[in-house]
Amino acid sequence: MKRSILLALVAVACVIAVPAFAGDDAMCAQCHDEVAAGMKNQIHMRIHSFEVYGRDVGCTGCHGDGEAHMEEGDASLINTFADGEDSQACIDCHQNKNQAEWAASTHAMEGLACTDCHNIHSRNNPLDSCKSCHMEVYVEFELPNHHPVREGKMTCADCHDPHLGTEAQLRTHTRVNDLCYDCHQDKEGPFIFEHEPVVEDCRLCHLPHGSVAEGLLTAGEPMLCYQCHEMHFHAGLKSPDVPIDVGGTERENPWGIDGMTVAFTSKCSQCHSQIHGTDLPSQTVSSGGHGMVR
Amino acid sequence: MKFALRTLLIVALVAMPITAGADDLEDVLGDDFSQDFAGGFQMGGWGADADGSPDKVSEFEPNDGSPTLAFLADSHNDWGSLSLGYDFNHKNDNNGHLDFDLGRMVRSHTTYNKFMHRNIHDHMENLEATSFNGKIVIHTDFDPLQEYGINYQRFEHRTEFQFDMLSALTLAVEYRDQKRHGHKQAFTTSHCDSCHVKSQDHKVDERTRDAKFEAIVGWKGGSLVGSWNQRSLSNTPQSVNTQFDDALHPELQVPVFDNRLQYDSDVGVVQADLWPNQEKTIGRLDLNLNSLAGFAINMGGVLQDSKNKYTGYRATYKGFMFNAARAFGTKTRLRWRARSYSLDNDDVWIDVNDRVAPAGPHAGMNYEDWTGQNFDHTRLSVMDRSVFESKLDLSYRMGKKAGSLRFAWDYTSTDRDHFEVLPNESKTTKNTLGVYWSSRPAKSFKLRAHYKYGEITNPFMLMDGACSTLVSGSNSNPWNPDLTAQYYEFHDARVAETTASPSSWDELKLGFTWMIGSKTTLSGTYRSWDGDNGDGDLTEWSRTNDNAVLTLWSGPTETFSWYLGWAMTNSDLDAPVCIPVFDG
Repeated sequence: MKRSILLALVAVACVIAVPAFAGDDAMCAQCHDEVAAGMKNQIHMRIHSFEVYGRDVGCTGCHGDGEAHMEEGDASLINTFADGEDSQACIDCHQNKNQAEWAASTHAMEGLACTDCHNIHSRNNPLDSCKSCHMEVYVEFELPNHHPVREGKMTCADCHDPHLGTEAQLRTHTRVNDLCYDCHQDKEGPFIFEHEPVVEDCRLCHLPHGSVAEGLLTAGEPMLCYQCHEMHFHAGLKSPDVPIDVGGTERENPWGIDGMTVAFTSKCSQCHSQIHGTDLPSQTVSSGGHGMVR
Repeated sequence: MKFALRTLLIVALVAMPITAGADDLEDVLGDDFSQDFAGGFQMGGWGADADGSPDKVSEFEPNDGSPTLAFLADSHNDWGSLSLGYDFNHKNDNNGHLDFDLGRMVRSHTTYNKFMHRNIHDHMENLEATSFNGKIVIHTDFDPLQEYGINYQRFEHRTEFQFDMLSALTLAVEYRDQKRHGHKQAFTTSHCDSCHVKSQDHKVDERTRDAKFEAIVGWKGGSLVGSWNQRSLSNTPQSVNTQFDDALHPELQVPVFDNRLQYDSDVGVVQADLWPNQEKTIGRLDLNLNSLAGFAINMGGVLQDSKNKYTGYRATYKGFMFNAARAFGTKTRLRWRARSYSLDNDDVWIDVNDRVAPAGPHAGMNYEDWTGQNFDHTRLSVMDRSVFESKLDLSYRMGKKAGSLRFAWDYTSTDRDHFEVLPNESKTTKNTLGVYWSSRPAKSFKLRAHYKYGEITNPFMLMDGACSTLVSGSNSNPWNPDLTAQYYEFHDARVAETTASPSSWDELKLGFTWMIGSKTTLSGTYRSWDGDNGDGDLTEWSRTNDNAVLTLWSGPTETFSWYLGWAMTNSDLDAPVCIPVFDG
């Protein structure tokens, strides 16, 4: 019952707290009807002053006091963002709204303006704008193996926040691996038997945007593995070109004399399947259980 | 009664602000900006036919067909707004959203999406061979007709509460629920009697859940943000079951071999392909100051703990970051970012199960007894480390046509506690210098170029990873292993440091964007990356990547765009590969 009373008090507080919406945006619309049409129900016309700690909202929130402009019709008497470079009006509010790191972002250092990516007078934001500067990245999603961006299941913004001050403006304040774990949590462990490069950095083996090789690998198996590991010690064995009797059983050799080479130099992860780490030891004693095969 | 009272209160909570706010909004905005309802509805169907490898031609999409249904409803009223949409393309491909706000004091955003990801079924045909000396590779696929793939479902929700009477405080709750259902191919490999690779279906029923609470204290000059995130990962089933083959002599196929396996068929059915349940907590506190002596400041710390619930072992991350950035006049900007963090993973004692040989020349002895080697050890994690990062940038705007120049220096030092990348070297230092130029020589034409050079002292390498110098005698005798060099002896005799990382690299990128009208863009980029590493013994690694892209993009409407592109990628990888000649 006490909890219910508390809830009731909260409800009353909400009613009292509903703000009065101040401004003269409707007056702007009398002359700028085309802009107003685009702004209909747009977020900037719906926000309230308390959300931005008492700042002006609506048309005057961005363009400043329009009284002199209305009287004289001179566009220079309001903020017009004509050169596309003055983002301060946006930053003033948005620095407090999840974009506190904008000034430390690479995009800010590059001198990008908010309007380079956002169409403020529209409901559909942002523009389809990553492509305009990063097309060479976007086409990587056309490679045979890719994160499903071109299929529309992901967007650039799932991994990158263009307003952050982090490495590559990635959505993480810990390691890049932790960003990958957000969706691929099963790869973190921590596992007893580690594969060193997996722990070091996912990008040692994977290209996050797209790759010719399976599994977004930087190179196909087995060449990926051969950069650090020698070939399997049975890879050089030769096979007879005909079936051979072993322990009383006749064994086929479908790949001829290169059968063992084909078996041991095609795909390491067929046997070393737990390449991201495991808690179960591999079979051989001499490996100390580190073979990543179980 | 209690339920009824609560329901009433919730209704009041929602309805009373609506009533109270109505007049103000209507007076000010009239019909130009608010007060409407819009919706749309469409239905249809599609069909497709695909053959070949579905995981290639439709990796992320259904390829059979389905009725479709989509609707969108938007309402913006005095009390707030509501947007509800759903797009059903297929039972395994659909998405939706629900956004609403109540007087802008309660702001909620929810999305749901589902899609499929087909995986390859490896039929392992390459694993079928017998050597002249009788070594065997065979495979068994227990589920040869199984189609492998995962259906992803992701539900994400965030609601913020910020009240006018206490606007400095914003509270937010987030919830994410990611489900992955489907089938993955699980492999196990039995040694000794042969190399016997077995494949079976591992049913996937995985769930990752995040619950996050965030508190923001904001003012015009900055904000203090604290958050706590609790994540859980659960898998059902966590593993598959398998029985390893008998430990037989590989060539003679009789149990006369000294047993060097920790387990075989003797232990019966065991777990394999284990995906442990996990827990992860992330705590974060950030202070943001919009201007301190003209600098925008961000500073914060992250404390993260990851626990493997199967083993109970855990790893922790402790990190601190600091950003300072400011503009000097209208032409110059300076930025410094720094971060320091440490990772600490539990040590693990590995007690190798060293079994006694049932027969053969070492009957009654285990591997340690007759080799004198004890393979028990403490696993010290590669993860344990201290890292410091610094990034310093200075940009100067020369003019609209001359463009902007940016100079960047990135420094990273990674000091690993246990893992050496070269003899007696566990610390990797990276320095990268970059110069970036961008300009707009004409209103509709942009040019970009950058050059970066990186140098890495002690890059990530596998010390003594390959190229054994041990020469075994030609007197190998399966009946007398004492005369034959053992695997671990070959491993111990390796001398080559191996790597997939450069010790120095450079990158050149050139690009242009030409805006043809307001809705069409022609852009081109050329990128060249060249890295090499000769730091280790016998290490001569190099890689070059060259990419060129030319695209024509057009977006005639806000909801429709297309592009035509040409892309070229050329990658050359040059790495030495050692081919050990062993028993062959």
